[in-house]
Amino acid sequence: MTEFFWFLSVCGLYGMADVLYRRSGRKHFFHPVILPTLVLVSTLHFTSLEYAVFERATYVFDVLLMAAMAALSVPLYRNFSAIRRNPVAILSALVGGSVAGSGSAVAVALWAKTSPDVVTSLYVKSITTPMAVAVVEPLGGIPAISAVVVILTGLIVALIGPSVLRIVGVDHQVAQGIAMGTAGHALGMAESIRHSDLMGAAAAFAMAINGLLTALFLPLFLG
Amino acid sequence: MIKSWIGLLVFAGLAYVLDGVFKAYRSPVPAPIVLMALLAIFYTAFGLPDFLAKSAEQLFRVFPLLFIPALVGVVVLLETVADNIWVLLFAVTLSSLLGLVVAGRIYLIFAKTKGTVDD
Repeated sequence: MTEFFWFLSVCGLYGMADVLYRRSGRKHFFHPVILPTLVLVSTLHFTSLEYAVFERATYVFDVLLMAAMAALSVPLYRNFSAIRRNPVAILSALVGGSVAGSGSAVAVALWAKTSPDVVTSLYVKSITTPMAVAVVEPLGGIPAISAVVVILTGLIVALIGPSVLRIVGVDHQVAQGIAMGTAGHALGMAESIRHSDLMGAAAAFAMAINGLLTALFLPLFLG
Repeated sequence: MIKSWIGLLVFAGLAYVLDGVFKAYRSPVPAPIVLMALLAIFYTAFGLPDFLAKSAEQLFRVFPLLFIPALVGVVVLLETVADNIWVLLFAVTLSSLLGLVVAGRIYLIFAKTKGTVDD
């Protein structure tokens, strides 16, 4: 019964938040993931309800998320010719964005004399959660810290990324998608697909390649 | 409607099975990313089935909903977050936006050099 309650709560809160978001004229702070997340985190934190039950009840969303990521093959296939036009630009943007994002976080952590395991956990901040957790553990990082940083990074990028890119003059859809996928992984990609197919495909491509490159080269770099 | 449900079952079924296999072998690469690449190669060789295209459209409409349970998972890590709040705050805000802007600007610089920023 409790499990069904959690499932309905997630769907119901999202439905309400989505209506609010549309009625607000798509204001950042009404993004449909914020309200449900805040309500559910507060409920779990301030009551004796168990997170394990919530996790079991919402497993179906994990499977659907995997299905949605697999479904990104559709815009990727449809827009691949537009994306592959600039392989050098894409690779340079991926490496530059990834190094700037993770590098600056690591530099500040080192400057603040943060413990080495927390510093290591920040290297993977821009790759998708399952990859980040798998990559950081053998390197001596803390998977829980990586998971928090990755998820919140994605949320920030999804919320204000498109506006920030427009402000700095990045108004080209492929450039926006590559930036959103590089800096904001899956959440950045989910936001991109809401803007356009091309932007979503570019973000999916960037997220996949950024994750693979980080998984391959980070152990060599830190080893 | 039926077509998009069949497509959903195909996407979810494939992702679920492949995820199980990847987890069993402790692969650091997530199964959905590999599946995304394999399906794109499949469409290139055999064409994009209509039911998968319709299902993808339906899934993308509720994409943000699917992230909510993962975000709520932060609730078990609140203490860890509080212990490292300033460094984490910088990591998720300013450094993320720096990475975003650098990636976008670098793409434009290289693409403009090649003269292909016209779509």
